[in-house]
Amino acid sequence: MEEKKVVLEARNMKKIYNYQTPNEFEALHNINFKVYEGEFVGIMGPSGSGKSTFINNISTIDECTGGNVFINGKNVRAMTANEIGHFRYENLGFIFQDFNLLDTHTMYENIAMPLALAHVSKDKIEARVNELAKEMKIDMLLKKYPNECSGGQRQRASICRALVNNPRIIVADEPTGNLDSVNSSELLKILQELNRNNGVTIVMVTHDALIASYSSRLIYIKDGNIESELVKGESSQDEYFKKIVELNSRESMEILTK
Amino acid sequence: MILKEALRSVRNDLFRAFFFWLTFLLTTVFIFLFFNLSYEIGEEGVMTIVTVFMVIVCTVDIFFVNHFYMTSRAKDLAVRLICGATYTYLSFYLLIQVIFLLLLALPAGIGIGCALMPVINSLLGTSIMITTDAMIRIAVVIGLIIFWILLFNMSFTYKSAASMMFNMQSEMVSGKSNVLTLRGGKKAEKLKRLVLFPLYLVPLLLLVDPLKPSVICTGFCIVIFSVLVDGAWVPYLNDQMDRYITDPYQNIHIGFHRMNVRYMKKNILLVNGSTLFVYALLDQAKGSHVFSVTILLSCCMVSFLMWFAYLFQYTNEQVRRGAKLGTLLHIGYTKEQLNKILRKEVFSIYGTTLLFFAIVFVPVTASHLSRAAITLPQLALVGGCYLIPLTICMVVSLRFYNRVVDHIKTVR
Ligand SMILES: Nc1ncnc2c1ncn2[C@@H]1O[C@H](COP(=O)(O)OP(=O)(O)OP(=O)(O)O)[C@@H](O)[C@H]1O
Ligand SMILES: [Mg+2]
Repeated sequence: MEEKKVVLEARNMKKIYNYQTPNEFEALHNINFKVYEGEFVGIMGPSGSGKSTFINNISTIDECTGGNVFINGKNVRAMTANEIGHFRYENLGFIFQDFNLLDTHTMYENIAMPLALAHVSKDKIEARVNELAKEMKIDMLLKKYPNECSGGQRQRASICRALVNNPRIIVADEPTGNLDSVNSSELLKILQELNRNNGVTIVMVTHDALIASYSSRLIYIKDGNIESELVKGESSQDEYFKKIVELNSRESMEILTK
Repeated sequence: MILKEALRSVRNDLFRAFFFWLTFLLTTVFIFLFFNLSYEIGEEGVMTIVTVFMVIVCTVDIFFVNHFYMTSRAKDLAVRLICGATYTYLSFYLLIQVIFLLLLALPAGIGIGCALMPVINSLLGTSIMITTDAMIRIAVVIGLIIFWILLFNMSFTYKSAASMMFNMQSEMVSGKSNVLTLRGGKKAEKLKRLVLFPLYLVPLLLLVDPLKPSVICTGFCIVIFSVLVDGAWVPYLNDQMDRYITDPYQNIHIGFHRMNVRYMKKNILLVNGSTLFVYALLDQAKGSHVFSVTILLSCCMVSFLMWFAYLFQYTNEQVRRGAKLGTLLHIGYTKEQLNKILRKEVFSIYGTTLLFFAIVFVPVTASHLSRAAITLPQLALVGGCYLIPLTICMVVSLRFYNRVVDHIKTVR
């Protein structure tokens, strides 16, 4: 790989849940990993292997127990709370596994939140939210409250909120978990477009090999370690998809023969 | 077996169980004092109304704390139901918990009541005895309240589908006027507001006429208040939201406040309405010392109990909201900013409650004073009995939010 800028980097990143209590649990063991600018990284692995933990820790959502995380070369530990806040609303779009919309605010208000933090004007907020909502097909629901919408609709609203401030980095934890195949491929197209045309960096967890095949690099996490890595390189999406399926079934076979 | 499990469930949520117990205790003490006092006066006209009213207030209060307790149990029950527990089993499971707490509270409550009686006598210069007749009434009233709760809780398990119980902790207020009015119909909304807000003040003019009892005007205010919330207040907040959508602090704060207003409407009504209602009856004393003392004490009791109910309801909402607050940090708010917003939210909701209370309280007091129906120390007593629980509840709410924010697991 040529000299590309490193956006996110983990050095000896370790995560221990319930640290210094009797039920300590080490979810990540000394992970070293770099995400380059403009990359589309896919993350796969069995349930409970540490995928969510991994992307939370590498993107400032959670703080690792050992090692260091660098954002654009800057150590997260050295950043102030204000700087981290700034980084989050200026650069980061996070799509959560469980939507995390505020029930107290309408869909419109939820999506507009990051824009208010970034001091965007009212007209621009309205234009931007409406544009995105139309793309995600929830423009009819903007005045509703989240608990009056279906899981998939809420998921799409949380996607809108993540994309609304044109983040340079998008971190997504199973963003298609609640979507049907049409909406899933719609979302993947949007993400791919952002990645290709605007150079947005994407890190995405998924259980679906087809969705993972949109990535440019794939890592497989198992028991808190990066078990293997695949690079799409020059291969077509179809070939890449087959490689991913193969990797997955190889890992599954291992469990069978254990 | 079932006994053990039920008691373990009580132990697992000692915080709520404690409040449940405390409410029972206070209610028992209040009922005890009230009936001993009112027995002294005998049943005539206004006193009957007050008696009925007090019983209703006590029941409502117990219902709120019961609801507060049940929402935390709902998920537990739903899981048991899905795993094949029978309704009979669940009913007993709940019954044991409630009866256990009751048994702990009743004797203590009556004990405290007996101990307080001489204190009240010496303070007020009365000589009220604890009579068996009054005790019988007390037993009947407490028995009735317990019966209603048990019945309510039985039907709670019986008719609730498991899915409802699962969602209970995330239950939401849904009303007609909850849809944000971004555009359109704005003029009509504004007009409605222009009419509704002054309408709240109009009944107070009735107080000028010295012949009209204050109760009537207070009653009007209470009714109009309930219309005012959905008709004007929430739409007004929607407008504010629209205006401040670009302000990262205001838009979160307004959204929270708007939800609080809708969610707490019942409780604002109860705490203000019932306290004011009893307070307004004071000019019916017509010189009877024991009567006005009973009214004043009832007023204070009602305020205390209703503030308790208020706190439970609000804490329920805080718990529910706490689960989502982490999101704000993930979007880019700092903990410090979040704390600031939450503090403002707590002040806002308690402040608005106080404001709507004061708007009615001040003119009614003026009317009472002009008729010499209240002395200044008595006024201080009533004011204190409203403001002290308000302050306590507010502090508890603030502390609670602090704890919630501290427990959010994020970087900083
Ligand atoms: N807050 C927590 N406290 C304790 N242990 C946790 C916590 N969160 C996760 N874990 C543990 O860490 C491990 C990794 O969890 P993680 O959520 O990262 O898995 P995942 O790969 O995202 O799984 P899934 O595909 O099911 O979402 C799991 O074994 C889990 O039990
Ligand atoms: Mg996960």
